[in-house]
Amino acid sequence: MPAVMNKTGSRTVGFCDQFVTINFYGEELEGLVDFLCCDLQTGPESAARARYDVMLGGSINQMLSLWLGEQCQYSGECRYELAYTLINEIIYQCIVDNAAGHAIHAAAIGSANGAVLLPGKSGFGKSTLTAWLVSKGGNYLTDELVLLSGKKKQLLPFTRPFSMKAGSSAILNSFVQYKQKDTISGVGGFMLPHRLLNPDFFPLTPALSLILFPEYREGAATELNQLSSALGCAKLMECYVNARNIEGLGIDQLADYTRNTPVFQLVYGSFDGLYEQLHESFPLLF
Amino acid sequence: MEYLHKFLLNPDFKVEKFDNEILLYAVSNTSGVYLNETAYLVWEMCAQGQSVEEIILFLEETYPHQKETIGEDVTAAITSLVDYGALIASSDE
Repeated sequence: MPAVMNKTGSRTVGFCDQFVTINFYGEELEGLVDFLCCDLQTGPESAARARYDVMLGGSINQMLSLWLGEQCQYSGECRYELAYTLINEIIYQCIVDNAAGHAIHAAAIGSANGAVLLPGKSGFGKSTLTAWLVSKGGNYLTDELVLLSGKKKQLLPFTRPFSMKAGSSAILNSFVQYKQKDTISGVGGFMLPHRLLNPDFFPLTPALSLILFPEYREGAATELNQLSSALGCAKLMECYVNARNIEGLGIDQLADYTRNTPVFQLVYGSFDGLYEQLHESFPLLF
Repeated sequence: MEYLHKFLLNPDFKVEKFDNEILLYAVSNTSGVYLNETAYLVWEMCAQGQSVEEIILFLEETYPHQKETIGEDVTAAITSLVDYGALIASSDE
């Protein structure tokens, strides 16, 4: 990293006791780091497993850059690209050696009945559906990653701003009012503070009560189908990101989660009528 | 597919049993494959060293009303399991 700049401040943040330190050089970058990390667990700098430097300026004026030691992870002018790279670096560091539970690529909300897990790979509509569920009264937990832990099926969320694909803005505008200045946006997508939909947010780690695999298909009619435990487990495995850290891979525990939790698949093409259908099937969801 | 062929279970795969279903998963890459009741039966008969022909004959006797489709279902299930890497063709015929 360039050695000419003075550090403005730092944050040590993480997830499930895995921490990284982020040093920022420039006051406006403090706002960006806090935008991304304000709901993450905080810890002592001595506990950090990696140290990142976020910089503005350097040899080229107004150039943003992200460094891990001497390695440049991002260099360019786009705040969104920088934020997206940084949050993914934090996720990677917090998961790569994490054996505290089963890390699942999933969104999640809290309901009166407990946590609703929405597992799925990128592009399956997790974030948009989660934002919509939160707009209907769900408590935001995450749109990206959870850790499932123990026989009580406790769900620990990686709580970050909503991260949306660029194409989601039109549909998002149908249920939440926001201004461009509220977001960090770029060509590929944008990030939206979850408190815009969830102003009374408070952190929760509820027990898992429902697994709902979302799949957005343009123009599709809404379909909600219950899955068997085996099929649910097979689909959950597709989103299971830290199996190699768990003794015996932990598939038996994942199987227990799907044996003891209702598992459904939701195909949707719009939000028309979705509230009624979900409310009828899951009265405690909203 | 030769009907006298036998198939071995890939030892890299582990089994998680549910009521009437099974989940096979590869230990090396933690990818899983879901088997329905029929595919599970085929898998178990392969594990017992039965040939494709023996599996088809047994299932035709057990489910005579489905006799017309059993051959196709069994070969499809085996092909799928071989493609997935869960079954390996045996040199023993």
